[in-house]
Amino acid sequence: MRQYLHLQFTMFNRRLRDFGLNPVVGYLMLNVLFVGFVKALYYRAEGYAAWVLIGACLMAQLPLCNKERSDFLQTTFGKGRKNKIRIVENLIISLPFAVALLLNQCFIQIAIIVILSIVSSLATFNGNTGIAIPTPFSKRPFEFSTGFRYTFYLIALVYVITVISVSVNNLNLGIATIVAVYIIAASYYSKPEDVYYVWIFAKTPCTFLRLKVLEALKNVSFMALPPIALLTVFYYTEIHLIIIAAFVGTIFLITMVLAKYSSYPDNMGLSVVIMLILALLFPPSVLVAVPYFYYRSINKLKQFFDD
Amino acid sequence: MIRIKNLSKQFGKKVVLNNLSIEFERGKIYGIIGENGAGKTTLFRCIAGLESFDGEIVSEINPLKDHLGYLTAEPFFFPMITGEEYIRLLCNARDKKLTEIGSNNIFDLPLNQYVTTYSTGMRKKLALLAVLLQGNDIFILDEPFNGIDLNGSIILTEILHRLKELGKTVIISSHIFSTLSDTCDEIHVLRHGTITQKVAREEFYLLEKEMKNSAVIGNIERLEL
Repeated sequence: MRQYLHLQFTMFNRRLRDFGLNPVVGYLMLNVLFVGFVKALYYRAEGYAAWVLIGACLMAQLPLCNKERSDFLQTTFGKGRKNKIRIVENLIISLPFAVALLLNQCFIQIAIIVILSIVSSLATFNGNTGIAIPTPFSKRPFEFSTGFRYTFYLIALVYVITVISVSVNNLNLGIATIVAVYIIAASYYSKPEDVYYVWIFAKTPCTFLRLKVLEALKNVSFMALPPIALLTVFYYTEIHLIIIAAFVGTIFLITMVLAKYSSYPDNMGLSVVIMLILALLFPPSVLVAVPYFYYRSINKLKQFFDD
Repeated sequence: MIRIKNLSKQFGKKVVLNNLSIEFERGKIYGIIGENGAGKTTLFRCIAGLESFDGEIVSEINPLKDHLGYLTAEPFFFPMITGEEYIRLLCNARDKKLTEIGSNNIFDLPLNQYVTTYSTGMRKKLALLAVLLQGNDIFILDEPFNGIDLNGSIILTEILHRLKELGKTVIISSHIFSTLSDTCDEIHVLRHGTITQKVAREEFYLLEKEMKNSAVIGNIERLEL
């Protein structure tokens, strides 16, 4: 088991290096981000922060419950050792969450997180079912059709929060849900696809990018329509705020699409991610980011198209 | 027609294709054979424009890649994509409008299911079907018979004959000699990064005999069974 865990550690370090980070710096950044997340959570929503931490911990553990992975561990190590490995993995992931709960004196929640970590380590999740989740984007695959299937529960949750925002008369919360829809859509463009899926297009780099951006805008409009429409009906006098939120989301989505292809066929590097974060936190920065990503994308895509 | 002249490709110090020259004419089916690692896939990727190379690849149809149906040896599929969505994606990419796919589903694939639930052969059939529905003029099929059942192989052989009748150019690689001898007009032997033999249909049996001899004689004895 030690060798297996050491291998996982080595592989995670490789991921950090591929991302352009020295592992030590990577761990430092992850710690800072986690502390920032916990602080913000307790500052904004102290009443249910502990429960959000439990939920976040379970979300972080979910990918490890994958059936194929579980089957691999079982055939390689046998059932007993597989269970031990899975329990240790889940407990390692739960450690920072448990520490955060400990510092906030939430002892019952620590017990819950430990019990849930052990129980979920024995569960397997088979995402490979024969039933395909229907999506409104099937006619124009693939980003939104596959992305929607991964995030439909998040989208549903966002819609529910929009309704709650109206019922508690909190426009800010409602506007946050609009931005959330655009961020979810942007996440569909976070990873580069296999080169075959770019190569197949009978386009120039410019027309390819235009197509990708237009598809993204068309599909995201459909996805963002329910919260926008609901908030417009109930907060018509504040429509300018709703429009600004949708506009910022749209610009961010365009930036994300271009950012993806600016690094293509590689993953986005650290500098690109920083520019994206900046685009979200300080929207005027897209005036630099969009043209920069666009020209880089054109250059990166030239190798796959006859311009 | 596709004319390849002095094509060379190396990865680091490893020379994969070495001054390779070959021509593919319209309305013919070509087989490319060679040992594992001989450079068949690299040759196909160069023709498709997926690899940079030294030399010249000229086609009468331009741009070649926009009229080329490329079936890779191991097609990549997104998780959570259905068979129908995969076909639509490939056809949309070539601006080929599809209204209803059901009637085109000659392999009876469960198109409304995720591709990840498909068997190896079903995935190959799906990728092949999508490439065929794109309406290409030239086809590169890397190991198209791999994993496909007997029924599928018979259908595929018929499809290849039909493509030939329609004046399409088809280039196939396969490790199953009979699939090539049933379909090809010419077989080219790729060895050490270059074409060492060009064999016409009437001499396929000689090639098969020669290959059997060179593969078997002396080799099995080395196992000391």
